[in-house]
Amino acid sequence: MLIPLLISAAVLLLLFLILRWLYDRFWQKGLSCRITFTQEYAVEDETSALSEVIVNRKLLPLPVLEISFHMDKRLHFSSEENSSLSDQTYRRDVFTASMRQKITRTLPFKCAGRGYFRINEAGLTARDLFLTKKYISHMPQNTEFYVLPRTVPTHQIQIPYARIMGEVLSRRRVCDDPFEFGGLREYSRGDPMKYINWKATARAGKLLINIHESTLSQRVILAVDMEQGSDFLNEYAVRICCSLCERLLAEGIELDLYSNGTDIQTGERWRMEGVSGSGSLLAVKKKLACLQSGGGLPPVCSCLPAPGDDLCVLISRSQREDIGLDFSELLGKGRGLRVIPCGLGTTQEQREKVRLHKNIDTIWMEF
Amino acid sequence: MKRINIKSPRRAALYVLGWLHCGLLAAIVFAAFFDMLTGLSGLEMMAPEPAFFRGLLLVIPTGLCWLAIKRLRALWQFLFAAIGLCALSWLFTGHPGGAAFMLLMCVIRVRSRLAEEDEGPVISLFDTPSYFGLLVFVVAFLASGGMAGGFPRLQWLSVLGAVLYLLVCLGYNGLDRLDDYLALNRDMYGLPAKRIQHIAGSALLVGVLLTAVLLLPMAVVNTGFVRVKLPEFKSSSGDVEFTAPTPAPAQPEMDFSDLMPEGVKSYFHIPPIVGYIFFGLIIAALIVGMVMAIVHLFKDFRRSFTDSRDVVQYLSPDEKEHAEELVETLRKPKIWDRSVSATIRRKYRKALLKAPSPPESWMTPAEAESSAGIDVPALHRIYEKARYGREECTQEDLKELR
Repeated sequence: MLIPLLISAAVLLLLFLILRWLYDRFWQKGLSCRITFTQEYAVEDETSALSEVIVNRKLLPLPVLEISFHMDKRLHFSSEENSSLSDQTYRRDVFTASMRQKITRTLPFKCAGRGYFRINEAGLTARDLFLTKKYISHMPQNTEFYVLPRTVPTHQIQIPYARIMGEVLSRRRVCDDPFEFGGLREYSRGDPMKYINWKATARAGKLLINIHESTLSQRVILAVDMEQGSDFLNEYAVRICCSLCERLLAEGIELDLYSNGTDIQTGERWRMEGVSGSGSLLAVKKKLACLQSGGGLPPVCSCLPAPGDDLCVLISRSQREDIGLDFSELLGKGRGLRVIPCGLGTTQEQREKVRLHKNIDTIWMEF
Repeated sequence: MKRINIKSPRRAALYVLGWLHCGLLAAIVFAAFFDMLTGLSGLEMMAPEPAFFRGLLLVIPTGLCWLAIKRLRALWQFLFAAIGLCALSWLFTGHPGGAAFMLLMCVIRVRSRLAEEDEGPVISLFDTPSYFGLLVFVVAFLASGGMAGGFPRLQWLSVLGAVLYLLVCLGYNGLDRLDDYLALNRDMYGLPAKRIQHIAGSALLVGVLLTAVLLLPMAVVNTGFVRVKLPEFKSSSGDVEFTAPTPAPAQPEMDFSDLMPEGVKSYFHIPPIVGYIFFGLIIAALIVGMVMAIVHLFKDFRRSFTDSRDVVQYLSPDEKEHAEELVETLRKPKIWDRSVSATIRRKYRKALLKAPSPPESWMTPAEAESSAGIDVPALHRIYEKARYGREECTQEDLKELR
């Protein structure tokens, strides 16, 4: 008799359809996917990691679960075979999530370039138990990562730093703070009597007077030109800026940072004003990580305020005449510093082509 | 001699299933031929059952033929091998039909190899079971039931063969899908190939076993005969009338008359329903066994381990996440709670979930309504009474809501 056989076949078909329905209905239930950077930030050329956590809380196993997301190509994953590279890296990872399982995968990557990276969404593709049907969905993600600019070696940054500090010290007004003790020196004619340190004089047997330090705050304006062109030198400009910030903040100098580039987070013109203290260094570096170049940017000098008495330092790879002229006009009667990062082998002739202005001190930095 | 690189047992199983499909198709063709030859011309050369089962032995020469065409470098070497394979096929099947089948296969394989040299890999139908192959068994079944006199033995073989072929197809297609996926992603870093194979392979195995358990015993014990009356063409009306299959003879019931002393007539027959119950019980027991096997299999997943760079953890029910989930579920009224308050809460929930942007779990009722764009003061008031009120809601509240 064929009837039992047909009934059995119908039962099998029904079981298959029930399984299919269960997957159709519940494949995403209790399923979560969280992609997070294990660190908040790292410096260029350092290694960090991305963590993918899949949680399947239901009883239906997912033999194949693919997680895909877009990632900037400046983050080099050690397992590039899972990625396809275009203007962005499209990464796809396969997981197997059995019933009530949590799977954690850590993907190490190298920070090949400065920047701010964010993952907003991850694509989910799952298959049923027999791999016959594909289910596709998306899950919002919220993870961000800063690749901070690395600093320029000390021997390279020493020259511009020394120049800046020289300018800063020379601008310090002769305005002593009687409460800021700097040391002792021998009395000379004309010194006010009130500065004589009588106890030290008695001990030494000769007249000694107190030296007082100046506590007048100094401010430096740093401007970074991100005009589109040589990304390599633009990156060096950012690194020079970062190195200078690190040293100047350590010296207690207040900084105003400007650029004609855009802030990748806000999409607005990049700027950071009134930064002081070493504690602000991380914030500065994060802000510098968000600085991006692009086409159609205005001239850098148009983004700067009038420097007044403050020292203004322009870091620009551009050797064009108009940049120097604009900067000179902006400074007016004041003085400024122009740092030009250039490639190795830039000849003296090429350097001499850049017109020198009386109020601008030019420093070339070869990379 | 070329070396054949069979990458995994999975691939080897696919090859074997491909050969089985050839054997099954050849077997039913031979059985149909000999049965019909006997039935139509009265010339009994071979009974259909031996023709079928000996035809199944063609699996071996089919496999050898595949190995020969893949391993032998020169075609003249394959020529000698083909002669041997034809002889072997004749020996196995017991008739020259086997040799003819093998000859055909050898010719096609040679053509495929020549085409492969020019165009790359060629997929041969000899190696790929297809659900369309079941049509051969359907034709054999219809022919056995529709032709004059009928061929009950062929019908039994066609049903048995169809079930076996279905199992081969299920196994092949499932394994092929798995193999294709793993082959496509084999270079992928961190691909949990073993776990994919474990879960999908186990599911496939269970599916094939379940199919075998449900269908194979019935196909084997199916000794009934279904007569198929082909539609008659009436020239006067032009209608084609399909006559329903004639009632099949009942399954042979156990007859105890042979065991009875002579002269005593047996009056005891086991009713067919007992047979069904018996089979039902066996199948139920097998299903229970299979479920237990599955549960046992999945017990393996209840442990934490590290696979490649994946840290796999089992989520125990007492985890906090579960507790949170439980709290979420407690917010809904229980499905068996049919009180007025529960009905109102269900209605409220339904109304909120209909909104294009469903509210977040942390929202208060007022915030949730505002987020969903619902501005019905009565709904808000009655819901708050149902959800937070000390007194139970009444039918009047429900009516007001309606």
